[in-house]
Amino acid sequence: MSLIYTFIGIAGAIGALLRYGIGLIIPSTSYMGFPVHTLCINLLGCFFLSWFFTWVAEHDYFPNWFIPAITTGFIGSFTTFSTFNIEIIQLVEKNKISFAVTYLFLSMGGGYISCLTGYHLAKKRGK
Amino acid sequence: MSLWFIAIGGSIGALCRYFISKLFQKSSDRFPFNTFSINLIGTFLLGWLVGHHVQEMWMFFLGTGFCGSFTTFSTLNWEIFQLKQSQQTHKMIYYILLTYFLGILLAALGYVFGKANYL
Repeated sequence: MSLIYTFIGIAGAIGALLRYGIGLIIPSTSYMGFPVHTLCINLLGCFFLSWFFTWVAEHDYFPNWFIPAITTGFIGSFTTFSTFNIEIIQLVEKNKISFAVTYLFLSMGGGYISCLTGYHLAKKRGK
Repeated sequence: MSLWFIAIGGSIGALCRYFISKLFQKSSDRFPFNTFSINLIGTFLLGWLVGHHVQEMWMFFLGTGFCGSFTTFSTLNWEIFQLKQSQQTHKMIYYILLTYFLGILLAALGYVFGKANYL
């Protein structure tokens, strides 16, 4: 049981560091202040989580820590809901209302489409 | 040094999320309260931290690390997708609307509270 905690902790740290690293590669000052980095992180994470959950459901020979470490630990930490909301507030504060609305809908719709894509890709491969 | 703050905050955030999700066991026909409450609490806290202009090291530890990892966008969307797959469309719409509406509201509230040195 404690092995699960250890691996979730380590995977969570890696997810957070990777998120920070991508933020450095795509700085928030580029693209006229549109939070491209968080959008990429969140959509990539949605795709991978959906793909992984679907793929793993058809392969059941993993140690018990493996799935929570990847899903709850790594992907859960990599994607973020709090930063997303703060960025919307900051866009509104800077009077970039159209950016805020675009960001909101791209995240909402994109998150769903990413899950759908990951799901179907894993289903196809699984057969 | 800042990388250590992010890593430690990130692992605490992930573990807290795991504990909370274990505390209230999921059942497929229920509203996903775990992720819902986790996301809203984390969003309010991050709003407060940003509004309060906390020191950079605290921001790395609690902001990028803890709040960033504690809240999750991928699980939220996976749950939305699952609700759609199991044809619980009403629940899915409530979940989407409540999460995004309250998320933005709590981020703004936290931000304003932090700025006003409130809490």
